[in-house]
Amino acid sequence: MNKGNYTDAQLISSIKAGGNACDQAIAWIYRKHLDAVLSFIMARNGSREEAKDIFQDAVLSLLMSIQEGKFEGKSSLSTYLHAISKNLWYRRFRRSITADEYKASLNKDEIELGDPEYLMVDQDTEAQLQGLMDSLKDKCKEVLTMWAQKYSMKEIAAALGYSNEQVVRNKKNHCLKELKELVRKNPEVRNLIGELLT
Amino acid sequence: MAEQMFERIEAYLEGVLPENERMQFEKELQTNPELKEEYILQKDTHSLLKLSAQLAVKEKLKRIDQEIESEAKVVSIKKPLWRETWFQIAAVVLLLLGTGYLWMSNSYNKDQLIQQAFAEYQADPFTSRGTEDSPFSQAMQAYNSGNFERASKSLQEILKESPDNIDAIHYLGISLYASGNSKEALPYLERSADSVKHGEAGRWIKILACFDLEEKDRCMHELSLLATEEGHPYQDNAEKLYDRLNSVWGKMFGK
Repeated sequence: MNKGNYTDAQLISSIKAGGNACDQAIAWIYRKHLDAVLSFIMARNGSREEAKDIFQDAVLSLLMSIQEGKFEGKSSLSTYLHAISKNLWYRRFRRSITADEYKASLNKDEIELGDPEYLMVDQDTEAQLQGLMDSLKDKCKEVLTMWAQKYSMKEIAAALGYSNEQVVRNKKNHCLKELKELVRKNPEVRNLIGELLT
Repeated sequence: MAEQMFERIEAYLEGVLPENERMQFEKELQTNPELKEEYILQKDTHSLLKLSAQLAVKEKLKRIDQEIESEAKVVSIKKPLWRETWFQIAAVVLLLLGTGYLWMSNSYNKDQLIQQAFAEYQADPFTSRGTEDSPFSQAMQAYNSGNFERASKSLQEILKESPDNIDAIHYLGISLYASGNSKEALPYLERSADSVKHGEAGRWIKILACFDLEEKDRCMHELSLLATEEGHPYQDNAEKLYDRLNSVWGKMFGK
């Protein structure tokens, strides 16, 4: 399923599977829809960088919706992605876009979807999170980040040079304990989590 | 003790505890404050990692974007030769003259029609994004002015350095085809047809090349599939060519 055509069902199952399969699906979606979304935003006075930023956040939201089972299949993935992109564009440029302009930019399918929901991590939170992860020793950050993205133990072993899956499993548990202790000692981090996740 | 608690909580969070143990665990959460506290802490740690995973995905998207940027060093081109109106008119005139004179010659008719279809091929739109002197832009300048042999050579050099550059692969396929090397062109056209970026155009040119390489029936079959594919950008071109070839061959065999 490398560079061929994906159906929506195939994309969804690859994304839910996580790991390398998910990576390939993400890359495919990105390449397929980049130009359309960039054109939309740049035609409405967005810069290329702003447009890319919005598009990347939209793809991320799409991914999360699928992985958390929130994407209900009421529309095609394409429509959903475009709806999120337009909604993000509207929210970020609220000062210069009227609500009417926004509504006029949606096609029939996008209107039917209603306002998409998603969770955005702001830069402060991102910085604090990175700080915490960076303080882990000895490849723990890499192991845990890959595990959290649902790479299989086998994929993690291959990527990071561990000899087998059991080694990875032990490493993951060891690192998770370490992180758990860090969180215990840094209660303010738990506030971050509390705010963002319901 | 702490070790066992960790592993038990982990198993619960990952959803791998058997049913009875799961229920047991949930009951204990109500009655054992120490267990509950450890559970919440571990759950929060998992949540933290989920957020961290999101940031990692965002980094991945930025990397994909950089790949795309480095693949697409193209320049804006002036209209290629076969899009010039005079050339197309000349091609059509030749075709009409050719059709009258060469009615009895099956394959020459077919070639004229296919050449005409190729002449109508709309090149992908470009935007100027790279330096004028890059090897790729030089190759595209040759391509643009119809110098397909030079373009082919340049693109082949580029592919030695970046064998997965899909733009180079696509235009090499076309350049080889346009300079009469359909056989050499085919592997590149196949990769182009499989790509996301050039899949649609790649497939179209691949079908045109088929007529130089394979049994007419097989190529007509591929052409008819494309001609009936709603929404494909080359559907109309395919339909037109299919009808014209059919009428040429039909007449030839008295159908």
